[in-house]
Amino acid sequence: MANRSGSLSLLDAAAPVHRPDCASLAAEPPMADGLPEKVSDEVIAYGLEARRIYADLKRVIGQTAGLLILAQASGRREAFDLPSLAGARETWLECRDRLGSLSAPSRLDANLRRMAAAHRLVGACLAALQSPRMAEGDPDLTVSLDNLSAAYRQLQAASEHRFGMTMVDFRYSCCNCGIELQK
Amino acid sequence: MSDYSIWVLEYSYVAKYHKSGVLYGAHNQGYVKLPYCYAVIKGNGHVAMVDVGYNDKDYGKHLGDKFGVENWRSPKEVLAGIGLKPEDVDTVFITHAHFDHFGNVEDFPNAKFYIQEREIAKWTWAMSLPDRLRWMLVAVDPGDIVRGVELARQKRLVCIDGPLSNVLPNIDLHVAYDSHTFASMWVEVRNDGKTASEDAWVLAGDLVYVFDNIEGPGGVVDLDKIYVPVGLALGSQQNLVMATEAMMKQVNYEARRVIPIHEERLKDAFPSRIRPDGLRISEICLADGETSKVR
Repeated sequence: MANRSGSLSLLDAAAPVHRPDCASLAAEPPMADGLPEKVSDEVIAYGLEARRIYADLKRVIGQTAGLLILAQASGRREAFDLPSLAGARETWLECRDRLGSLSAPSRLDANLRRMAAAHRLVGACLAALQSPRMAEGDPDLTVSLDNLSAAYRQLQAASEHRFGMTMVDFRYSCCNCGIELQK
Repeated sequence: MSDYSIWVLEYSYVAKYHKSGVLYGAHNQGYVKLPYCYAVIKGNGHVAMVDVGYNDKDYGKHLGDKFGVENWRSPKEVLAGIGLKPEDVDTVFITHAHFDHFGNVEDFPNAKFYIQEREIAKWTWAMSLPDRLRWMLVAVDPGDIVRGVELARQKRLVCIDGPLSNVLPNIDLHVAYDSHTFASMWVEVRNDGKTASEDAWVLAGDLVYVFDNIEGPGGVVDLDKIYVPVGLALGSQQNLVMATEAMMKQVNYEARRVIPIHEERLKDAFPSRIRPDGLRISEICLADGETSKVR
């Protein structure tokens, strides 16, 4: 295996421009492009806010999973102490507030319930990671991973591409031609 | 003497794909077929794969339907074309974390997976950033990262830090930082077992999509051929070109030994056959004693 002595120090060195806690990265209002046509203002308002929450939960899930990989597969126990994990918790708390003030038009109730479930499960994952035992020996990720996997499934079920709520963003990727050709 | 057989197996494709996606600067030059493939390396008692494709179950199927990917077939069906089963695969090299390379780990229950630590670390960082920077996240499914945790818990995911020689006998892993992705790997098979191999094959991942990335049109600079980087670089085109140079150096500048996974014309350069389901098998080389799977 390669020598780690000269390796970069994980996420901190990986962020030469903006660290996750950089003050210039304050939350911005959602973009208003790409919205579906012929839907009510109420649905659009829901979609705009739901998209923010969806995107943040998606990030927190991916980010937390990445940290768990680094901790488990690379033995990088410092992953649990990185500002990234604290940042993930902050984002999760912000989502809780936004979810609390979001109401869904009746036919989108299920969508909101799924996002709320995803949020609850991410919270359970993050809480399990706060155990002092996580930084010792061979951490048991069972509870964290079970909750994280379930959160991903719930959020996946809440995907709604007409609002830009998709797990994989293809718009600028090598595959985006497919959708253009279908128009 | 050849230790390893190598095949490139198509598992789906995009029928009409912007040429500018595979070749930097090829704007308004039409479309090409973009095969989605993975590679199998068999020999020395091992069955290894370079990438695993994506999973067409539930959300993967949605992606395929929505973005024009056609004719997806499972690893069970695809590997059967060369007489193998997913359970036979003991080693997988994940060149990078895009969904069509890292998205189907669940179908290989006995494999150990190798990926660059920095590839995981920098995706993790990118996911912490706000929306206006999310261009970096294109083609990454956080679900693949979640599944990676399960692999790690099972001790089946190895994060490596930089290049690694002899990960399997006479197979080396190389890395190109900040190129197609944050830490894209390429795989070198030294088929004569020599350190300075005269029979090396390079499996390029997405560092090279098509032959023209290696031998592209150079007329504008009065050359027959020049390196032209792929259309999608998360990092820099410069790093892609230098990665191409590194790959070419390893094969003594014999271009046909650098294998581009998304190249439809592999069928013209190597013995190939089209299966009844319309997908291609290309046979790059055969180990001593191995029988052809395309004749």
